[in-house]
Amino acid sequence: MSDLMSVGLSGILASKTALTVTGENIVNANTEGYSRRAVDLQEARAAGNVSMDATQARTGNGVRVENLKRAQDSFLAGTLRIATSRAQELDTLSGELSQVSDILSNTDTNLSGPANRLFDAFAQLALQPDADSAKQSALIEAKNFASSASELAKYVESQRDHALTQIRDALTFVNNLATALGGINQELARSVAGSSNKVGLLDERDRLLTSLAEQVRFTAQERTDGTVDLYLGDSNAGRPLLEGSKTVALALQQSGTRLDFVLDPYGSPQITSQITGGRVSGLRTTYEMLGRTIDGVDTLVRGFADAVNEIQQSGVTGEGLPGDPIFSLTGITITAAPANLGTAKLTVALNKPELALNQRLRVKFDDAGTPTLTQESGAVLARGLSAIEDYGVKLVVEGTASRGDAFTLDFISGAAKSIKVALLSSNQFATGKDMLIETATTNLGTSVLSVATAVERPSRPAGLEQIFSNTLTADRLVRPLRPGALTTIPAGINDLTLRSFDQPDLATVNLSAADLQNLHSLEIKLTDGRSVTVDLTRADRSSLQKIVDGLNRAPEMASLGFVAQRRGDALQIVAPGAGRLVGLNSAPSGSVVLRAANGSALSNAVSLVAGERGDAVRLFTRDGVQVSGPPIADSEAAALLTVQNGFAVGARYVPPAGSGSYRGLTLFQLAYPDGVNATQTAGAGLASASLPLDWAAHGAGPVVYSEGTAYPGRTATLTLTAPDGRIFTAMPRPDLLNQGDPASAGRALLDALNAQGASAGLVGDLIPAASSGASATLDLTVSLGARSFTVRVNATDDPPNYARASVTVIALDGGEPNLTGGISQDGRLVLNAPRSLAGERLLLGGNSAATLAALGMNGVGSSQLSGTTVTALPGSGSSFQVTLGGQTYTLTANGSNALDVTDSAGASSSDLAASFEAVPGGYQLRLKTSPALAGTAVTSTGTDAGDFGFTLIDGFSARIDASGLRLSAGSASPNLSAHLAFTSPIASEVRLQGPLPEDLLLVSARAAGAGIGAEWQSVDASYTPPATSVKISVSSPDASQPTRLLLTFTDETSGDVIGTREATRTGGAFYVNGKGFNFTGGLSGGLTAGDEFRVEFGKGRPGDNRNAAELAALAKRSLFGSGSASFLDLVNAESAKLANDVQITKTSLTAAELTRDEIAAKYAEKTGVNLDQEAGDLVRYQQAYQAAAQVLNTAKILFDAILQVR
Amino acid sequence: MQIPTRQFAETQLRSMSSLQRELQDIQIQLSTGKKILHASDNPTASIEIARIDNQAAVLARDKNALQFTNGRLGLEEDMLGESISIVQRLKELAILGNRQITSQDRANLTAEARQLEGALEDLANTADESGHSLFAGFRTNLRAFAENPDTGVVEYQGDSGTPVVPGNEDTTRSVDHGGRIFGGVRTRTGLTDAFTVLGAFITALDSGTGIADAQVKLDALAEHLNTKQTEVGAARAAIQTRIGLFAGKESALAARREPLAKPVIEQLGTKLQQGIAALTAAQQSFIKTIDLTLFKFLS
Repeated sequence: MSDLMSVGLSGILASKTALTVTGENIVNANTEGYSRRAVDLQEARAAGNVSMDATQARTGNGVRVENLKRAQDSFLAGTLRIATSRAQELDTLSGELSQVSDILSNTDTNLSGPANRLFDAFAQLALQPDADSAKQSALIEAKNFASSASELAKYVESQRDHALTQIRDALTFVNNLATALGGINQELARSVAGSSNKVGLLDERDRLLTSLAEQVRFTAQERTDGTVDLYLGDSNAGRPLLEGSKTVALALQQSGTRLDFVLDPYGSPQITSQITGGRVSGLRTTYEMLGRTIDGVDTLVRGFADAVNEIQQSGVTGEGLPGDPIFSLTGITITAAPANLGTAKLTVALNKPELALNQRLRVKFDDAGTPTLTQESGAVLARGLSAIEDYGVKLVVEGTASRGDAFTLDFISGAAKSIKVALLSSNQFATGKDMLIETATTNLGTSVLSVATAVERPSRPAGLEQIFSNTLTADRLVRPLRPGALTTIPAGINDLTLRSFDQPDLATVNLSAADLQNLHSLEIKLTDGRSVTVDLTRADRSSLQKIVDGLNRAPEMASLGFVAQRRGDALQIVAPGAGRLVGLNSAPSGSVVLRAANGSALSNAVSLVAGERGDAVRLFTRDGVQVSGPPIADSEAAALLTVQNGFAVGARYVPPAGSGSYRGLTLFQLAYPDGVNATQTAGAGLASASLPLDWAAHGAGPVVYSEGTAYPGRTATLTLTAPDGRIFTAMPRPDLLNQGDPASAGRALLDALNAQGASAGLVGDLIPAASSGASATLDLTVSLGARSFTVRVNATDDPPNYARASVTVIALDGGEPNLTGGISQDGRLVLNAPRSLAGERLLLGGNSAATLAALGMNGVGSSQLSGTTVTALPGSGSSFQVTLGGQTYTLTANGSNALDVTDSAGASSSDLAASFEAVPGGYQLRLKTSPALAGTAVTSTGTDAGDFGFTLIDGFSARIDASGLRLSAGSASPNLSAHLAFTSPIASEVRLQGPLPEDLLLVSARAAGAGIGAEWQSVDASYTPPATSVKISVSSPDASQPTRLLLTFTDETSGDVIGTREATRTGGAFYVNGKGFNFTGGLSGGLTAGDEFRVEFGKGRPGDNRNAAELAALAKRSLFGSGSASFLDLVNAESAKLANDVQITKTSLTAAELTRDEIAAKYAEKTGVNLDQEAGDLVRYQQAYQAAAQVLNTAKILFDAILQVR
Repeated sequence: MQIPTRQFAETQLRSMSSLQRELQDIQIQLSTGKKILHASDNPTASIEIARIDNQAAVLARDKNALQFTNGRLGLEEDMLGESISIVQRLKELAILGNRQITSQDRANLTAEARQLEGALEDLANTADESGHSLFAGFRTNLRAFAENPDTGVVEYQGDSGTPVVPGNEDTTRSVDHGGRIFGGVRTRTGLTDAFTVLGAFITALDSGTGIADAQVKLDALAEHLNTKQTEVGAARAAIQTRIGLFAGKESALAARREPLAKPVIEQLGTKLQQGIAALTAAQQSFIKTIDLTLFKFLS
């Protein structure tokens, strides 16, 4: 009985368990991730050694629950996860891109609408170029376009950034899931197989795996205990994301626009390429595709802005002023690779705008320092600087590149976001063309004149005040920090003076890396009150590059054209060289202020270091003609003459002519030797008869002029020292440099020195002060050759100051005196004879000693060329060579006083006479040239010069000419020395008097830049350059050849003939260059003598709509040359590109979702709960329970029956 | 095969959501009149619509330029017509002045001639609605014709600029400049201009001598102006033709656009009805099916 009871009991218990499991299935029928469970019933067998009865041995002990089964299909589960990853990837991509696609495709929000409205406005402007309403409308629509482009770019960029944020969030989630799965793995390893706990853990594991599959595709490797190892991607190769309970973090690494996924970023970082599905992959693709969309928008906006600006700048306003750019946007971004080892820096100009379509290029240097230009993909485009330039990219390399150094050239980034309207007024629309060709109505011929280029026209005079303070003091300077054009001096500036200063206080701002660690923000204050604040809180403060980036992004910096660059461990704010026109308002210490916005002291963090020497003032016309300053090297010119620097397309460098005028304006150039206290010393005497002190050799200009004004702080000292130690002249006087004023004493002295060189001039000693009561007039008798003179020295002071007296020379023979006299500024009487009297003795005989003493002429002898006194005549046959006018003469002693003089051919010469004259203590050699060679330098070359007494110079000359200061000696002297010293804070100065007829570009070609001050009389905002017109007249110069015609080009303003060219009756092409004009054109059709044409420039023509029509026609024109499409079509193509991508993604998504749903259905069929089935099970197990109870009841009845047996 | 209860419900609900989305799209298409709600639904058609819209915009601009120019040429034509009338009257005065008349009559004739000269000068100085000279070439800020204070002769002040017609630069001429309209009058003695002819005529009329010669020149001037008027008329006719062509192009573009961009209302209505019916059926079948559970019978 007990057995039957046990059997019945086991049935009740098993059924109850089954009912419990069924109930659990029923209540979890809608639970996500729940797998249906079922009990595994087994017959409970009796143990073999328990029963003594054979019958017993054949029966069992009822039923028992062997196991709790969990409905599962591992294969389907894995397949479902793959399908889930794929569908989720596409769903994410589709969702993210759809929004942007809708915005890009909507003409209300993309660029089509604003562009069409702008074209409408341009078209209206073309119809009514003189209507204010049309111009206003065009300005408004230009602003709308710029604003729309900027907003669109910002929107797409924000969506891209949002994708990046989501990737980071998703990776955090992935890492959390992996950690949770690691925990589940631990639990599973400990749990008992078939237990309810285990089954629950497996469900939880699968739920987590499903969640993980939504984020990223992975491969799960399941072990027998239910734990899983996870690998990214679709195989179990590589490093696992999860192994047992050990997880490896997954992180994002961003480098520019490139995204990489890194396993174990804080341990052993390893970039993985196994991110192939799930949201993460979808978001990454979103990020990349939106990046391409941004590039596309940037390219279009840059291309459009460039095209509009090019047209605008090719035209003139209704007032006849050249068009300024309508749009402004950021320039080319050059990024050096972080691993670069060399010091090379690049400046880049793009000669072919269509290259911007490449968007980004790379430059890489090899062992030899040769750059190679490649696409981002690595495809080589050109190698070597010239080949790269031929390709269209002009590179200038500063410094030295190491092998492998690389740079990225980004032509487009930020263009759309940064675009703004640069015009300040609607009147600045260049609606017309500068040139108007007129055909005389009286022409009999039918020829049509065409002119391609003609003359450079100036731009609107404005903006100079933004850089210069209109003062020539050194308290406000402009400093370019890299080579390049500094600024544009617009036409219309009156009486411009530019001065470059040697200004030691010019500041280069250096921030040390360590100092930057504590900054929250950086404020740069400019002297004009503007300031730039760079937020550093979001930057990685250990990275200077972030700060550099911040500076570059700062709007004010951008508007000033700054590029901050990293150099070593310090930050330098430098301006781009060939790339931009720049100017930094700077001043001595303190005017460029860097300080922390949080108020912390930065005094230790900022250092102001001295700038280098001042630069020369170099002015260029837009077509490359250098107007002032020393010439520059061709290589510098190549880097400088770019469109970005303001030069005209095709500008060619023309070195300065060095003349004193420029297009009718007086051009003064004042150049000074470089260096403070620069000293030029002749060394130990004038071994050569000529000593050039060439100022130009010191970096200053070639010509020295002045108007007679003293320059601030400038002093000059010229000292000539005679062999006996007597200082001939010492002039600590600025007027030495003022020799442009003939009335100045300095000029008189120089004249005197000049005249003295080969004449009989005399210079006295310093005139002593006269005693009171002395005569106001002193007469000095002088004889020169056969003539005699009275030199009258008349002083007006009391007591008389002969050092300031006037000097008059009276010829005693009543003729014109050929002797001049004067008082030098330092107070000496100077007498000069003309060169024709060279060699004639000038004597002071017949004067009283008192007169000679009063005028400092005591002891002053003849200036005839003489040697020093020798005690004996040279031995017969000894010789002495001198050169005279390039010829060498030999003087040979013959025992008498007179020497034999022979020329290089050995012939006796009458060019030079030489004889010894007995003097007290010995003899002196006198040399006398023929009058024809008077003034010609005589140079001793013989080794026996000492024997001949040629060790002293009595005569010399000084002059200032285009080569600088030149000193000449009449003969050799080992002892005479010259010393010239300068002190000046000014390096050079250029002055242009009158309104500038065209723009000039002020350029600094020096790497360290210069301080330059500018001063001008006025900036006339309404200044209109004088109109210019050229008449082309056709004539027949030779009646016998009527078919031979002559074209005469005449400047109608000046009446000057620019040039003449021959032509035939059918016209022909011509090129005429001269007098500021540069004609390229031609005449086509019948030409007849008497025909006339006019080409007119610079006139305001409010009704001229030719340029406005070109702006309007841009709507139809190919944006990037032939083979391209119009801007609007390109905008459509860009939006269609994304729309296509979205459509493809959606299609793929539909398929992926179908696949996923189908697999999910199959998987659900295997693992899901069907309530009907559970209801059936419920009934079944209930019946089993009741039956088992009946078994128990039967056993009880049987048991009771046995108990009732008596 | 066993369908889990949860999956059954989810599948049904998903298909109902799908039907509702379709109905919503139909509803939006009906309310907005747009066939393509998202460019990604049909990128090819989308870009084609955008291209057509851009072409239409270009066409509209070019047409507007033609209409504007036509208006300006109309002003020139009117001005020329009135100028011709003036010259005709001057010719009549010449006939009258060439007879034996009293000095008072001559003075009256001369006075009228001077008035007519002034009227012609006013016509030559016609301005547009903004007050800019219409016949001064590009120098619209100047009076096209003004009297030279030194010579007393009315001279042309403008330049030889002729505005281009945006979008139609190569095919259509714009208003001529005054130098060409009133200059280049070909006479037996060479080329001259209208105001020189008039000045000479008035002098002749006033003095009573040389009227015949002056009359010949008036004839030349009248012929010159007639020629100019004919030229303008021809230009206007050409413009009208082009405008007509443009209208045709606009229609063609609209015809190309409509099937791409506009939904067919009847089709949408049918689809809407079908969708509603399908959704209703799905909902009802879901309710009925979900109700068919074993538990219901067990209870």
